[in-house]
Formats: sequence, C-alpha cells, structure tokens
Amino acid sequence: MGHYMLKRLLLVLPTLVVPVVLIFTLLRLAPGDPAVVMLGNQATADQVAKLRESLGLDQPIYAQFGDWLGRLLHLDLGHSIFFPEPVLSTISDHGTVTLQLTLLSFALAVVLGVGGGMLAALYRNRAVDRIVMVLAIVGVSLPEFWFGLNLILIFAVRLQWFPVSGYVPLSEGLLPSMRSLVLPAVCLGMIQAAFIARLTRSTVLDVLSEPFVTTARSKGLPERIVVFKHIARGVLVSILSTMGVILGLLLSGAIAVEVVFALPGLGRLLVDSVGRRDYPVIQGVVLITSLTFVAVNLLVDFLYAFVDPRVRYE
Amino acid sequence: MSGELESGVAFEPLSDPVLVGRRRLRHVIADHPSMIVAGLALLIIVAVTILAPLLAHAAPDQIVVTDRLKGPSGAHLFGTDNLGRDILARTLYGGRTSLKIGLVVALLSVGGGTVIGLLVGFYEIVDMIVMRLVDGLMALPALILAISMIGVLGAGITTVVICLSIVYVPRVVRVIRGSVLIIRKSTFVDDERALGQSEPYILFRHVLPHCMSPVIVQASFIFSYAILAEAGLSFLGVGIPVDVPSWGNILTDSRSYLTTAWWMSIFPGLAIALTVLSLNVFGDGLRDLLDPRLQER
Amino acid sequence: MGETVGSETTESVLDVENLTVTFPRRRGDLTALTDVSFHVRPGEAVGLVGESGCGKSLTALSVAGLLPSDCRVDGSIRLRGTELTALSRTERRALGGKEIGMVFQDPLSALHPVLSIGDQLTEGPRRHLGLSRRAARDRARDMLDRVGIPRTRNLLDEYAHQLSGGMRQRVMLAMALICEPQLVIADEPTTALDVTLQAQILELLRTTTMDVGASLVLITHDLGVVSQACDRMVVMYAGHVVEAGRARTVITEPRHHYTAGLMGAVPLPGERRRRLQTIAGTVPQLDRMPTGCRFAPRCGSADEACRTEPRLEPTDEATLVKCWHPLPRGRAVAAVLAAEERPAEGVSDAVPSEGPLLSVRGLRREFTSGPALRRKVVAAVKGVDFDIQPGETFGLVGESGSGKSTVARMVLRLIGATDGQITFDGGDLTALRGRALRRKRRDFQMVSQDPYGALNPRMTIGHLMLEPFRLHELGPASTWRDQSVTMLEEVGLNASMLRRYPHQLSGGQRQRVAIARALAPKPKLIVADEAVSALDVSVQAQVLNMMKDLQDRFQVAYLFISHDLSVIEFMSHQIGVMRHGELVEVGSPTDIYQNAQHQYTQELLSAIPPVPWATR
Repeated sequence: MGHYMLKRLLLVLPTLVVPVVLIFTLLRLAPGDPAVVMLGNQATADQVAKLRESLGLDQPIYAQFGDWLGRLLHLDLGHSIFFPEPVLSTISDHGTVTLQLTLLSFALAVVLGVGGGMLAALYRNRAVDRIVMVLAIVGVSLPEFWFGLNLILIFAVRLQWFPVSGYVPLSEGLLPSMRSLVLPAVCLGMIQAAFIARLTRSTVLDVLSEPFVTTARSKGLPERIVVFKHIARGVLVSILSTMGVILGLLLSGAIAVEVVFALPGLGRLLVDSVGRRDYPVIQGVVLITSLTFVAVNLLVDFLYAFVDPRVRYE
Repeated sequence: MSGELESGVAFEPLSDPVLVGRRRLRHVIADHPSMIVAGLALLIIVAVTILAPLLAHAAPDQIVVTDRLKGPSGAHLFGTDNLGRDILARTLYGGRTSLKIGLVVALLSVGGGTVIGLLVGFYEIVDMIVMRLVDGLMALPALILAISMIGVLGAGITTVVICLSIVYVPRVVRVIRGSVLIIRKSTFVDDERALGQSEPYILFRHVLPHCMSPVIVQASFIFSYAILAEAGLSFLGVGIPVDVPSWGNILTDSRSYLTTAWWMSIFPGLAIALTVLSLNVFGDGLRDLLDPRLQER
Repeated sequence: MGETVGSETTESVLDVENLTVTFPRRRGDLTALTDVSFHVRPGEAVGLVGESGCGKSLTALSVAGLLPSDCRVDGSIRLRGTELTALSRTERRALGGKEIGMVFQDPLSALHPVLSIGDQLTEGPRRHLGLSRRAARDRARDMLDRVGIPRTRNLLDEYAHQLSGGMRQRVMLAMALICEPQLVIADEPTTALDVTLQAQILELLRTTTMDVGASLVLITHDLGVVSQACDRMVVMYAGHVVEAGRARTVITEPRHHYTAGLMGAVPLPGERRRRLQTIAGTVPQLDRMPTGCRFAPRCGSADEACRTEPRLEPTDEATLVKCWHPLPRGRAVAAVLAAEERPAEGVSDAVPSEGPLLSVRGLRREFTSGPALRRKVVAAVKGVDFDIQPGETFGLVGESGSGKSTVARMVLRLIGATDGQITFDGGDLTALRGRALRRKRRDFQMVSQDPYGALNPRMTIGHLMLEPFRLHELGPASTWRDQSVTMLEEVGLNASMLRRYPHQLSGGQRQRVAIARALAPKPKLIVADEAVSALDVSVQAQVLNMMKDLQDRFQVAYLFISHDLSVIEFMSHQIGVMRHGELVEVGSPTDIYQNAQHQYTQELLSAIPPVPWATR
C-alpha cells in the first residue's frame, strides 16, 4: 500500500505544474501592460513603474517565474491591490465561508444523491425510479443562480423563513451562522444531488448485473443484506472515485451561489477581483482552489485504497 | 461440405439489413418517447430563435420609457424590463446568442478533444505528456478556470467561446481516450494490423468510427453545459458584454427587481432550463441508444 | 423438511416437472424452457448437457430461484417434496445456501471483490445455522480444509483477487457446501480453468459433494466431464430435454441424433485422419424456434413426421428420448463414428523437399511489470525454437500463461521480440520494418479467437472482404468483388453475406469470414490463435474440418494454437508443448500422444477427460 500512496503522490506533482504555470502565464497573456490595466488610465508613469517593479515585471520572464515560484514556496502570494493585506489572509477570510458552504452542500448532496440513486436503481422502472430520475434530470438542467433566485423569492421573500441574503459569521454563534447558509446550501446541494443521483443509479445498475450479486443471492441472504452489504460495497468503490469530480462541480457552483446570496466567499472574491483587476488575488484564488482540489483528490485516492483491497495489495 | 452450410444458413434467416435499419428506427421511436419529445422541443426552440424577428413585436434593445416594468400582457407576453424593453423579444434574441455560443463551444471542444483523444489513446508516447497536461487542466474547477481566464483576457463573445472550449477539451479527451484504449485492445485492430494495414488507416478508418457514439453523446452534453456556463458567466458579469442580449445577461438585469418584477427572471430562466433539459434528455436517449451493451437486446 | 410429503416423491431430492420459463417481451413472449422434466435422487450426480443457448443455465437458475423477477415460471420444482414454485420470493430465497448450494463458472467474478474470503464464507452459516462469528470462522476453515486448502494456509482474511484460479474455485465450492445443503448446482465449474486443474476440481466437486450428503447437478457442455463425474445425464437442446438416462448408457449408446452428433463432433485421440462428424447449422435462437421437433432442421434423419413435436418417451432400457426416429440400440456409436474417411494426407507423409517455411530460433520476449520503482523483468517466452514446413500444421499447446499467444504475436510481428530470430520464407522477418513489413504481411496472416471482436462490427462483410484485395492490390479492382465472393464460397458462405454486419452472423459464420479474409492474399502461413475455442462443439467441428480442407486446397501452413489437446492432435503434423515460456517437448502427434517424454506432457495428457465412446 505504501507503494500505491507514493505513486499517487508522485503522479500529483506534474498535475500541479499545469495550474502553477498557467496562473503565471495568465497575467502575461493579458492584453496591454498589466500594471497599466491594474492601475487604470489615470495612473502616472511613476506609479506604473513602481507597480511594475513590485510585480517584478521589469525582469526577464524566466527570472520572473523563478522569483514567483520561490515566493510561492514560502506561501507568499503577494499583496492585493484592493485590500490592505497579503493575498493569503484575504483568501483565508473568504475561504472559511466557502468551506462551510461546500461542506454543508456536500453532505446534503451525498445523502440525497446516493440515497435517491440507489432507490431509483433498486426499483428500476417503477414509480420511485421515474420520480427520482425526472427530478434529477431537471436538477442538472437548472442554472444554480436562477434556482437560487427562485429559492430566495419563495423562502425568503414570500415565506420569510430565511434571510434574503448575507452571511452571519461563525463568531456570532453556530446556529445563526448555519441559518444564513441553509438556502445557499440547499441551492447548491440539491443540484449536486441531482448529479450524484444519476451517477449512483447507473453505477448500481452496473453492479447489479455483476455475478457476485447472484452469488450473494444464491447463498440465501435476505435482499436487505445483499443490497446494503454486497451491492453497497461494490457501489461505494465506484462512487468514491468520482468524489473529486463532484467537488470540482461544487466549487464551480459555489461561485454563482455566493454571488446570488451575497456570501463573502472565495467565489465572490474571485468575481469581485476580476472586476477590480486585482490580479494577485485572482492568481491566489485560482492557485488555492486548485491546490485544495488536488489535495482532496489525493485524499480520495488514499481512501480508495482502504475501501478496495485490489488497490491496497497492488 | 457446402451441404452442412446450406442448412446452417437456411435456418438462420436474416432479413435485409436495410429493412432491419428501418425497423430499428421504428423501435427507437417506440422505446425512447422522451428522447423524441426532447428532440422536437429542441427543434422548436431553435426554430423560434431563428424566427425571432418575425415573432417578436419589438426589437430587443428598443427602450420604451413609458412601458417600464410592465407585467405580462397582450402587448408584452413576457412583460417588460426596467428600461421598458420587451422581455419576449430579449429572450428570443438572447436565445440566438446563447445557443450559438453553446453550439460553437460544443463543436470546438468535441472536435479538438476527439483529435487529441485519438492520438493520445493510440500512441503511448503522446499519452504520457498530454495526459499530465489534461490532468493539470482538470485540477482546476471548470468555472474558476473560465472566470480567471476571461477576467484577465477581457470579456467578449470570442473570449467566452475560447475559454469554455479550453475548459471542456480535457473532459472530451478523457472520454475519447477511454474508448480508444478499449478499442485498441479488441482483436480486430490486431487483425487489421496483421492484414498489413498502416497505422493511420487503422486509426481513422477503424478506430475513429467506434468513438463516434461517445463523441455525439459528449457533444450534446457539452452543448448543454456550455449554455449553463455562458449564462452563469454573464450573470456574474464576466461573460459577454451587457449590451448583447443573452439569457445570462437578461437574468443579471432582473436581479434588482426580483421582488417587484418576477417575470423578468422567470421567463429567461425557464428558457435556459427548458433548453438544457431538452438537451440532457436528448443526450441521455442518445447514450442509451448508442450504448453497445444495450444494442443487442 | 422432506418428511411431510407422500411416499412417491420422498425418494427424490429434486423433481422438476414440465418446467416452462417465459420472458415477457414487448414484441412477443420468448419461451426459453419448454416442459423440462428431470429428477435427482439422493447422493446422485446428474449432468445437464448441451451447447450454449440450450437452456442448461436457465434450468439451474430456476431451481435456485435466481431468475429475474419479470419472467414467468410454470410447472413444478420440488425439493425433497416441497413445492418451490408455491413459496413466496422470500421463503424461496431463504432456501438458497441452506438447501441449495451454487458453484458458478468464473470464480473471479462470482466472488465479491472487496469482501474478504472469510466474510463471504461465514455469511451462510451465521445466517442459516445461527453460528457465532467465531464458530462460523472455524467451520469455514474446516470446509476449506475439506476442499484441499490446508488450515495452515489461512486465507480467511484474503481477497478473491489474491488467489489463483484453482484456489478461487475451491473457495466457491466451500461456500456452496458450508451449510451442508441437499443439493449442489455447479454451472460449468471447470470451464474457466486450465486442463490440469479441471480434472482435480471435478474430482473434488464430486467427492466433497457426496461427502456432505448432497446431490449434484452438474451443468456442462463437455461430454467427457459428464462421463467422468455423473451417474445420470440429461441432454438439452433448444429449451427441451431431448434425452435422459444413465450417463454410461447414453454415452455409449446415444439414442437421440443430437447426442450422437455432439459426440461425433469431439476430436478423439488417435483418430486424426478422419474428418469430424458435424451437425449442420447452429442452435436456433429463441425467437426463431422451428415448430415440431426442434432438432429436425439440423438432423439428417428428419422427415415428415418430425413436423410434429415428439414426446420424451422411455425406450426399451430406461433411457428417455424425444425423437420420432431414435437411433437403434447397439450400433449407435458405430453408426455415428463411421464417418467418411479423409483422403490420405499427401503433404504430411511426403518428406518435405525444401527447407522450412518458418524457422524460429531462440525467440525470447520480456515484459516489465510492477511498480515504477521496483520494476521487474518477466520473461514470457524464454528462448523457443521450432520449424514449420510448407503446407503443414504446427500445433502449439499449453495452459494459460504459458506464452503461446506471445509466440504467435511475435511471429505475426505484432509485438517485437526481445531476442531471437524468425526466418520466414527464406528471409529474416525480424529485420523487416514499415512498408516492407506491411508488403510481406500478405504471406503470413492471422485468425484470432474472439469471433465477436475479430471483425470490425461497423463494417459490412462485403467491405471487410474487400480490404485485403485493395490493400495488397490482388488483381484489377474490377475483380475484387468477385474474388471476395469466391473466397466466401471457399469457406462455405455465399454472396448473400456481403451486405450483412458481423453481429448479424453466428459465431461460426464470423469465424469463417475471418478465415476467408486471412486466406484472400493466398498466404503461405496462417497463425490461428485459439481460433475455435469460443465456438460450440458442433460448430467447432465444422470449422476444424474446413480448415483442414482449405489447407489441402491452398497448401497453406498453420501455426495452430490451442489449449485443447484433442483439437491440437486432430489438426497438427508437428506439436509443441509449452509451459512457463519454454517449449518442453516437440514431436509428431504419435510421439507426443503415445510416447510423451516430458513429465508435463504426460500430466497434460492424463488430464484429458476420458472419452468412453472412443472405439479403441
């Protein structure tokens, strides 16, 4: 198993190179002088020169890259143009909100999605299956932000069960904070649940046709055990491997949801920074999300080894 | 010897393949009613957006100050927005933009992804390098990658199309590579090689046709993803310019009037949902139809 | 549980009467089994025999209550007198494992991949016998010991993928027997195993089943297996029982033409000059069942009477047969085996005049495997030498993993050799590259195993047949179509095939097309890798006969690869026995079969199931 983990770890490194290089080149790809773009047209030549220097734009490209990489290794993501603080602390402030939102939605999505998908597959072609699958396909067809707008309209404006928008930080108590996240989490979670339900259903159907399910039945085990032990274990292995993809969808979806519900999360920060041309923050957000994404996928790979002995004894 | 075979053939009566094809089409229609409905819905949506100038009473950008925020009525079926523009007209014209972007992104990313996927799946050396690149691109959540690219390169229809295509190409590459790897293992590739066929001939004449079903299915799904993504990007203000009507842009305008003018968000939202839903149902149907495991049944 | 029922049925463990299974389909119901009846007595082993698609496995699934819920079961299945069809689904299910144990064909896919062996073995006893976890594990170790896995080899905490094929099937067997059921149903339990293992596992299945006092239903396509392990046998054809009786009697004196045909289709030791007896055509598909006697379309003795369905009736000596014109007693086997003699084989008996067509020297192939940091080099083929004379067949036999396919792929230049020389037709084959190699390929062609995968499923037969002519520019383009038809006719097909797609053909027909394609450039050598192993016995016989005929007509040499010793003996002029990448013995069929030198060859030979109907 040690070998398996080491191999995964080594395979991840080249994966990280792409985002790092991409993020670096992105700024250089921008039309015109980034310093001018960032400061706007009113900036003096002196200001531009200073920013160019602080961004290291006056040096040759390889030196810039080396320099940038060196600072990355020290977790120095530079300074925001807009906020009077290092990029890393801006990101960690906003990151807490996104983390809360994603975890909540993820839990909701997995419970609803896996449950619904299993139900649909086990009662294939019956009413339950039809209902779950219609809901799921409608779910994957809805734009998150529009779904969010409608949720606000119904549950916040008409019924007034939840705040229309805004975020209550954790420091003001767990419950109020959670309450402010219910609608956003439902919005994001339901749509991901639709994805997971579709995925789970087809995975369960695949597993159902495996000979080992027939073996389990031939042993006289009640259907309950066949489903929750034999089939579920088989399904778990396949579902787990797609969790990384789900996370990517969640992070993408979170951006729109944060904007709709006015949550000060990473997605909102990214969108705002694009508007402000705050390149260091853009770079930072992209880098941090891709790092998180890669780390979670690595974790999934390791978990995989625990669930699937075929991987463990590779 | 021919005697034993005569009977072998005689007792396996096979109908004319053309007839089989036609009969199969009838079965397809009978077995996938939802796919047919979705296909018809798509045709209608496309037709309606193409015929927008004939169907809409007003130009999409015609500002009538006296008609601001009017609810749905005979004159304005979908109501008017904060500038008195006809929502129906804007939704129809917006559909043109959204569908066009979706279609172009689907064609570009599926086309590019297929070529790369074929090469990657067939030649191991290319595989090592390109797949690391693909993994790296996949390590960035789709929308975040798109937003940051557009954010830096500047908003615009071309940028949105290019960025979304770059986002979806790696996904297509993975799918195509997967099918190529399976096909490469099947015996007929060896058979063709042993017959003396050249590698490019085998790749394009034998392997490519087998990837067509995943290609078609991917195209229909990416079409729908791209429509959703364009709407999302425009809604976030990093999509196409605000003066071009698109479903995402109309919804952005509606945000401030959510409580006062519900029709501003409902109709364009429904347009997106219906279009994407039809595409997804159609894609599901296609996938079931083209799935080799379901073919023989 | 049997005590409750009347005297007549208590003596049987299993009574199946008029079992009919129907799959409802939107476009008409499909009846897969019709009026299947048979009995299994205590301590008895009954073989269910027939080709694929005849309904053997379906019968087993019906008895075990494992049919999909949407199919209709009529008739009666009684286990120790209890009517199973009257039970609810749950009650029925609860009998599984406890009263009926199942052994499936492929143990790797039949065992759960992520549950430990111990977990899977103890489920039954904990549920049905109420044992504690500890007691159940003890029982599991006991059972494993009885199927030949010693207690010292503690594999309860291992997983299916860590075990060898033979081990896995032993575990499957232990799992079926662990609750000491009344009945064990084994569905092709040895088909996926290597020859030398087959005999062992079969013997084990027979003895351990009897040991726990269970009766055995053994499903197989192999008459040799039945004669080895079964007391009685039931022959099935197209969803009917066509013959049933004592195994010995049926095998020595088959009364049904199908049974006799099956026996004639098996190559016999020492009989290689004769053509194989064949049954024309293939098993009909469910939606195209002939009316009347279902075998009639393939039967040489069919007449008007066969248009109505015969009944399964007892003949003079307890054998039941479903035929209007059963074969007469006594001379049945002789009648079957008195097939036409093959003309004397010119090529093999003449001393080869020129040098060998193909000469392989010191052929070696290594593969690297294992994790990136501890990469191991494994030699799949470790220096192999052999020659093939023009127009002759060299048979390469060996078990899975012996390296025989790797040899084939190297000879075909599909993979490179690590070391060694391949001289073909006077030139060095290993030196050829690119266009020169592709040009030379017209002289050595290939026919591969998989009749589904070997032809591109998206091209018509016409298009596939055209390819070799266009590629190697065989004559003017205007003649290619006619040449294709001629080649198809050579393999017993005709021009009506041209517009069809591979999936519209039967397995045998597809293999014929593959052979026609390989023959089209008039090659000097055809490499046939397990070319007939996926085919049913009767179709296999057709293809083997045809390949011999074509060899005579086209003077083509074969490198014929198979795991089946009887097939190899039937086909070959020279035989090579491979094990662990080495050619352990090379010789003529007579040398190999009557005077084997190497111990492994002797082992292989002794593992062949007996053929009691062989005349010598």
